[in-house]
Amino acid sequence: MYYLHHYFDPDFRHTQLSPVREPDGSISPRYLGYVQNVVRGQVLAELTDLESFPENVRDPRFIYQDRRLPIGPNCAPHEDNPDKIVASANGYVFYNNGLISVKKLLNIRNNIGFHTGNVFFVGDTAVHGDVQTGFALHAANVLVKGHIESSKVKAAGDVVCLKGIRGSEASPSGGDQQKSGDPEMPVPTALVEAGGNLRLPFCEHAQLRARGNIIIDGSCLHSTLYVGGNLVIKGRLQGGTVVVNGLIYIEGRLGSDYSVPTRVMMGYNTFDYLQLQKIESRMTDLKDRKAFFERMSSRNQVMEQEYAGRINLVNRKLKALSLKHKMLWSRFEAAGKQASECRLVVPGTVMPGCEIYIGVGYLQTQETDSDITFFLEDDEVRQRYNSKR
Amino acid sequence: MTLCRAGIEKRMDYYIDANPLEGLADVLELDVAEYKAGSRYGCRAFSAFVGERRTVFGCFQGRIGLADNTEFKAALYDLVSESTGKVILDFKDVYLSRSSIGVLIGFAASMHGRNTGLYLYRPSVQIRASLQELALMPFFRILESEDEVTAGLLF
Repeated sequence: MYYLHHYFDPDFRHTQLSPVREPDGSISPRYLGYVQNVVRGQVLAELTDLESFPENVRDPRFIYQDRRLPIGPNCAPHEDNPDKIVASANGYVFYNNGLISVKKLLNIRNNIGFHTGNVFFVGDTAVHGDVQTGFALHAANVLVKGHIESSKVKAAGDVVCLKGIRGSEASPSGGDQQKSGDPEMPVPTALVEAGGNLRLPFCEHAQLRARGNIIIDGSCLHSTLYVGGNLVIKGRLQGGTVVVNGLIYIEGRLGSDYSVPTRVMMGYNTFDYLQLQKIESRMTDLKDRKAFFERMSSRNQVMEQEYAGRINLVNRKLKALSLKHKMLWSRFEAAGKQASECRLVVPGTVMPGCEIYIGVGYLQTQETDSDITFFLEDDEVRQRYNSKR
Repeated sequence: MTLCRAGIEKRMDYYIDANPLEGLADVLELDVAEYKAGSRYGCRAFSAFVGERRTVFGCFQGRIGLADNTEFKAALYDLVSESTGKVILDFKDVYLSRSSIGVLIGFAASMHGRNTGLYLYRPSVQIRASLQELALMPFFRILESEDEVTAGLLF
């Protein structure tokens, strides 16, 4: 007689989830443990002699008469110990027709919301509904068939959203996203980050980050984009900031009629720029905190002793941040030499008031025009018409 | 090989009393080395509250395999029970089997679910290689130096 000992919960049902109790006794409605992740090589179950397994923890369903392993798809016997079942792929583990199976693609048949909680999955994920406000998804590659609302979606690879991203205007304080350097530019709350490419039909009040390319089939409104590769927008780019280190192609319109500031920055390493922004934002916070501590400390001797440690800590943090800032800035300046390769191509209309930075060059468009390419020459942003007039 | 869960409480009191605001760098320099040297266990976890943001720091050592996973998991979740702040795991001198990496992934999922930051501080070469091979590197945020930790680069 043999007993199959599981290293995962064989009775797990994603349809019967309940909020997990926090260590402090509270309950977080955003954490339900939607999926049982496993990684390649992880031991899932082990067949042992029945007698060697404590009687009080035996489950009669997993007592076998003969030595057989319920090996399903993406599972295999362990190389050294054939009584163990290991996962042969990253994914989620479950029982399917009496066999231990690992599936690499997670299909979420509804919205990501209160009935799923935040989802973290090591494989690819397809969300058949929306990613609702306040929830987060982190996976290898992501397909969202509905909308992405004011939520966080992060993928190691590509992200495709079939209905678009619609965030809200103001960022909650203390959020993950850095503060905007410009008070006129509110930081969007929807954050989508892709290690590869990103494709979507439209976005509004969103922050998009992609190491590869971003393709937007419609318009991009009031959003902040950080693109490591190229950016293609088939509709309008209206409002917000776009940081790209490659080519930008805007088929519809650049800028708007309503004096909404639209800023395009090119020619620097996008993610160094993002990191610089974060560091500067953090340094501003720390300086404010230091000023407060110093004010408190100056009241009397007791307060001085009370706040000495904190001031010391803030100083150390500031010193470390300054070093990091300096290092990033030197890298940033070196990368600026590649700015001459960058192009902003607008076959459509260019509205007045758009700010275009390429490397050290700067240009603000003055009048409505169309079919223009902007590029850097002699440290100045120049423009030329794509067709003869 | 075992994880000493009782050790967490003991050390926590010590850190709260002795070093509440000095930052992680001091904790690492002054205390961790001594504590590790005195450890009778191959793998052991403890925690420390650092600064006003209640970041909790867990230090592990040794080989963690399938047999240790129950205790490894308990030790990880003990860290969360100490604080609702960010969690930093020191895996500098740790070997993690694939099954233990699975446990770590489960913990990362739990942290993600709670919207709590999880950071790996100077993971060992073996852990980096395993994470690379499994294409799991993008799921973790890595801190390479004490400065990074102390500077609060925990966005």
